[in-house]
Amino acid sequence: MSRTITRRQACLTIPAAAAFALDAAPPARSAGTRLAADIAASRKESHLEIYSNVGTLNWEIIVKAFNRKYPWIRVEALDIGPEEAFERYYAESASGHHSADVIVAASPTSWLRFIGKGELMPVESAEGASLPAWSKPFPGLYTFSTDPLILVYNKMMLPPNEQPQSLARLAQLVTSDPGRFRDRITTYDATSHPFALAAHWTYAHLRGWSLLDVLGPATRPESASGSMVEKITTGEYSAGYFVSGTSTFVRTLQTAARDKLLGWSLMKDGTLIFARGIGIPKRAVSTASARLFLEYALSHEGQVTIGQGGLTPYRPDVKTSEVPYLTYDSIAAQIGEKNVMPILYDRALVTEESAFLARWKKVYGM
Amino acid sequence: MSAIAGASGRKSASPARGATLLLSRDRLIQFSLAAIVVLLIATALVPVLYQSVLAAPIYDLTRHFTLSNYLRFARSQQLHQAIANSFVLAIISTLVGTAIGALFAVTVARTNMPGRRIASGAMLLPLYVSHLILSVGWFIMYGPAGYVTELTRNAVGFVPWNLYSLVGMSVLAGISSAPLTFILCIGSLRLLDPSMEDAARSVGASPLRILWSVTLPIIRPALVYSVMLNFIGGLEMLSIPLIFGRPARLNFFTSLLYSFAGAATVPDYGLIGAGVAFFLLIITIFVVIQGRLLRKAARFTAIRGKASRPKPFDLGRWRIPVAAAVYLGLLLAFGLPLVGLILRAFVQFLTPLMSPWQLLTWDNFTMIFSSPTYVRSIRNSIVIAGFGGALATVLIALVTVVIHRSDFPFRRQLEFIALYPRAIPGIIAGLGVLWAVLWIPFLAPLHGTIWILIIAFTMLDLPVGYGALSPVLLQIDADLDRSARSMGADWWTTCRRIVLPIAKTGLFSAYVLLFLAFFKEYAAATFLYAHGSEIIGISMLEFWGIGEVGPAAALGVIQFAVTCVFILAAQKWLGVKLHA
Repeated sequence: MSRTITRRQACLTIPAAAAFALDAAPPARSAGTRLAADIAASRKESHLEIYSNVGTLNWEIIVKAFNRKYPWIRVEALDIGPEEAFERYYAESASGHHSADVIVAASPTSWLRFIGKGELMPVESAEGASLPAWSKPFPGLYTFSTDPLILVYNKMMLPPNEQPQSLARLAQLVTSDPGRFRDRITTYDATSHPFALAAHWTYAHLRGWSLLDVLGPATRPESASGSMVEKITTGEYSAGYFVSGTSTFVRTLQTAARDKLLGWSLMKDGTLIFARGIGIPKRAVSTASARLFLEYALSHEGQVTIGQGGLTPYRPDVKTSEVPYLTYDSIAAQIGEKNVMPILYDRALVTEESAFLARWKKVYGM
Repeated sequence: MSAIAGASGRKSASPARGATLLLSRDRLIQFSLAAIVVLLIATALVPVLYQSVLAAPIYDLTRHFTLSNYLRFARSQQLHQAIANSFVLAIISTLVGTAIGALFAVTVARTNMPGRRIASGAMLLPLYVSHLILSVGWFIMYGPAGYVTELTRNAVGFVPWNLYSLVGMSVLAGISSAPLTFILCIGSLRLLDPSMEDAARSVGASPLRILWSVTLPIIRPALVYSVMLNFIGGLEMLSIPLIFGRPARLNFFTSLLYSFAGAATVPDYGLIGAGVAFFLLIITIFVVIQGRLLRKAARFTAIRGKASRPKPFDLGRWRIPVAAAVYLGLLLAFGLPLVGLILRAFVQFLTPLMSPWQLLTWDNFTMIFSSPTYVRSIRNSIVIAGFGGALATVLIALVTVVIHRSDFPFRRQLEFIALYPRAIPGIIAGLGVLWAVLWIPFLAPLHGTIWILIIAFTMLDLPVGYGALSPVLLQIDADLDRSARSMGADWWTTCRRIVLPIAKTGLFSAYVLLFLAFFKEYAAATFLYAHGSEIIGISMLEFWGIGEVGPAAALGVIQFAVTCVFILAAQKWLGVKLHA
C-alpha cells in the first residue's frame, strides 16, 4: 500500500465542521481595539495557566520570549500529557477551579471530543489570514506547531553505514540480525495515550502494516519521547522510530556531549507530522491573557520563538534561516511533499480505535 | 448502652467520678477524636465505593446508580491481568523479603559477626528513604543498560538478571521490603531471654537446632506480622511497577491506576471504582486473617527501650566470611544504587559508552533550583512533613490515649479502625480523597492545597504513629492516672497534665517517624497534587515519565540529603534513637 497524501488532500479529509473555519481576514480595526483591551484586562488577571504536552525545556524558551513582550503575565505552563491536559480541565472546571486558560496538545481524539462537548471558545485570531487553512480546522482551534516524528539512533551502537534514514532501512536492519536488535528498538506505545495512538494509526492508514509487522516484535514501546531519547543515549536502545523531534532537538541543543552519541533523521520514506492544536477552553478564567498568548503563538514572532524552543513552525512566512531546526516547508523540501504525512483530526480515529489497537497489540506483543 | 455501663463499671474502681454522663467533657473529646478518625478513613473509602456504583464520573451531576461497572470489571481482562501480576509480585517479594530480613536480623542480633552495629544501621536506612529513590538507583545500576549490567556483560558475556521481568521485579521488591522484616524481627530478638538458649545448649543442642527450635519461634509473631506488611506492601508498590513494569510491558494494579492519574486513555471512572473496591476487599480479608493469627502477639516493635543484650552465638572461623557476605549484600542492594543515583545527578547522562568524568555538570541541580515549581516541591515536602507531621502526631497521640488510657466504650473498635489504613494502598487513598473533594462541595476549597495532602498522609500513617506511641503509653503506670483523678482531675486534665508530658520522648519518636513517613510518601499524592502543591516525589515521577533522569536523580539526592540531616538532628537534639 502506498497511498500518499498531499497538503491539499489533507485539507479535504478534514471533517465537515472545518467548513465553518473562519479563514476570512478579520476586520482589522476591531482586532486592534481588542488587543488593546486584552492588554489592559490581562494586567488584572492572576496568571495564565497552560495545560499541554509540550516539554518543560521547550516551554522555558517560549515563555521567556512571551514574557519579554508581556512581562506582567505570570505563565504556568504544565507538561502533563495529551489526554490529561483535557481530563484535568474537565474535572477542575466542573468543580469551579481555575483550570486551563489555554490548552496546547497534540491529540486529535481529545480535541474532537472537547469540541463535541462544546468546551472550545470560538476565538477568532487576528493572525488567521496569514495561516494555512488546514491549520485551523474548527472555529477556535488553531495549530501551535507541526512537529515531525523522526528516527533517532545511538551513533556508537550503529556504525555510520547502519544509521537509518528511512523506516524501511530500519526494518531491513532488524530482519538482517533479529537477535541483535531484539528489544533494542523503541517507539511510542500506541496504547498509552492518544498522541501515540494517532501516530501509529495514521502511519498504518497511509503506509500499511508491512514495516510495522517487521519492527513490532523487536520493539519495546515507551510512553514518552523523553524516555526514548534518554534510553537511546544510554544504549538501552539502539534506535527509535516515530520519536518526537521536539524532545530530541532541545536535548541535543542543551548538551553538546549528547551530540557524540545521538543522531537523528527524518524518515525519507514518509515522516509523520503532528499538528499540535491550541485553543482556549470555554471556562477559562484569564481569558485576556489567553487571547494574548494565542495571538502571540500564531504571529510571525511567536512562530520563530516556537522554532527556537525546539518545535516546528508552519507559518509560510517563517524562513528556515530564522529557526535552529526545521519548518514545515523545509521538511517538505527535504523529503518531498508526498512523503509528508500529517496527522489529522479524523473521526475514524475514534470509531476504529479498538479494532486498530487489537491488531497493534498483537504485532507489538503487548 | 449496656456496653458503656459495663466498660465504665469495670474501670470505675479507680476514679471517683466513675459514673459517666454521656456528654461529659471527656466523652465529648473522646467521641470527637473517634469521629475524626472515622471521617478520615471514610473520606478515602466512601467515594471509591460510591463511584463503583455510578454510571458517570462522581463530579458529573448526571450520575446515577448502576451495577454495570462490576459487570465490566468481571469482563476486563486488562484489570484481571494487572491484579494477577500484582499478586505474583506481592507473593514472591514477601517470600524474598521475609527470608532476607529474618536471616539478616538473626545474624546481626544473635551472632558475634564483626561490625554488627554498622550493618544494622545500613539495613535500617532504606526504611526512611522513598522507594522511588531506591528504584531509580537500581535502574541506573542494574537496569537493562545499567552500569553494573554493562560491566557484567563485558566481563562474562551475558547478564544473569533481567529486571524487565516479573520475577526480576518481584525479587527487587522483596529486597526493598527486607528492612521492614529486619526491624520487626530484631525487636523480638532483642527481647529474647538468653537463658532459654542457654538451656537448649546445656542439653547439647547444636546452634542450628537452637536457631530452629528456640530463636525462630520467638520471632514468629514478628514474622507473621511482617509477612502481612510485606504482602500489602507488594500489592501497593508503585515505584517498581512504574519504573520497570512499563517498558517490560507488564501492567500492575497500581501502575494501571497511575496511568489513569495521567489519564492515559479516556478514564473509565466506574470501572476504576469497581476494580479498587475489589482490590480493597481482598486486602481487607487478608488483614482480618492475619489479625486472627496474631491475636495476642506484641505488634509494633519498631522503637523500644534497650533490653539486656543476650549472649551471641560464636561464629568461630565463619565470623569473617559471614561479615563479608553481609556487607557485600548491603553494598549490592543499597550501597551501589545510592552511588549510582548520586553520580547520575552530577552528569549529563550516564552510559558505559562514555566516561562519566567527561560529562560532569551542575545542570541537573541548576534546572531544579532555577524553576519555581521544583523549588516549591522541595519546600512543600518539608512543610508537609514538618508541620503536617506535627499535627498528625498530636492527633494520633490523643487517639492512642483514648484507646489505651480511657474508659471510652468503643476503644476496641477505634483501635481496629485506626489500624485499618494498613490495608489501604497509598495511591487508592489519593484517588478516594480526590473524588471526595470533587464530589462534596464544601471540601472543594481544599483542592490543590497542601492541606489535602496532609489529610491523606495523616490517614495513611495512623498505624505508624499508633504503633510508635502504643508501647510508650502502655509502659506508663496506671497508678499515675489514678492519683491524678483521685485529686479530682477529669480524664482530659489527666491526659494533658500527666500522661502526655510523661510520654514526651515517645511523642518525639513518633514525630520523627511521621516526619520521615510523610516526607517519603508520593503514591498518595499522584492524584492529589495540583499546581502549587507539588512534592518532591511527584516532581521526580514527572521527570522520570518524560525521560529526564538527571533532574529526577538530583531530586532524589536532595530528598536523601534532607532525610539524613533530619535523622542526625533528631538524634542530636530530640534525643530520639531510631535504631533498634
